[in-house]
Amino acid sequence: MNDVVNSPLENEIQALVDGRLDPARRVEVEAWLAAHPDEAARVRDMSAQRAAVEDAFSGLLDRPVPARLRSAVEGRVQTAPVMRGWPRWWRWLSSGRRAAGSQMKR
Amino acid sequence: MARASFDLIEPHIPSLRRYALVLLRHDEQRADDLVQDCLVRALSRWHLWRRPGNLRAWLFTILHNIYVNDVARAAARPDVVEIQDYFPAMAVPPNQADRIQLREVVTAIQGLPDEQRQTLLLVTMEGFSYDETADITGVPIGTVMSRLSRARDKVRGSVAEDAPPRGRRVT
Repeated sequence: MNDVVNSPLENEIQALVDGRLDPARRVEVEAWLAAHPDEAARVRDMSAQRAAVEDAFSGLLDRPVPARLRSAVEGRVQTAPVMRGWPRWWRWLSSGRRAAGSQMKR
Repeated sequence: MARASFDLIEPHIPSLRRYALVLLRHDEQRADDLVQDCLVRALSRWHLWRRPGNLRAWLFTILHNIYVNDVARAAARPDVVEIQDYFPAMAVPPNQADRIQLREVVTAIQGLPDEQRQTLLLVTMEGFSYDETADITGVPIGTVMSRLSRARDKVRGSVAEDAPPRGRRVT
């Protein structure tokens, strides 16, 4: 019966993997896992998965920021590239009017 | 104002680019187009950002919405790029067990349904809380939790399929 009381919810399992479970509950869940090897193996795999994701993608933060993105933040670029394929009237409505005159020659 | 917004937004560009790049399966051109669009929209809506708010989550919300509304819809799902091609750092001798695991995990993530993939990446790669992830993706937190759980089980299943079985006899 104690087992039923302590049996963790799936949300708590995910929070344990993400290090977001509160410490007191974490102790209880880990004790429960010690008695449930299948679920413990699942938690181990999911934790390894999490670590692999952190490893695999951390290097992508070090790439130098391209000039066009800096220009965008400085407010010097007003045309959104995703919208390039959109109808002309839409581009005119959403950005053409703001960029009147000087931007016309682009 | 332009200066202030630049100083505040600029530190978040690297993680926005990383998220966009992984979402778009390492198509650098389209990923930076997406980020640029996100930045342009953020500036045009700068007055809507409530200080002191969570600027990073706000920027990711804008990027998410552009991706869902404009980018993902427009593009047929591309073939998954060979992982070695897009992670030069990962092109290591295949006899290193943990590296194999890394590649398998990344490949499995790229094969997930888009909503599960976004949720998993926001929580694990970007370290957003469940609440923040719910806000960014515009769903209740319960949906975030179930997507996360399903995503992790699927990745676990794919990795187990690819890996040589341990402690089990193959006949």
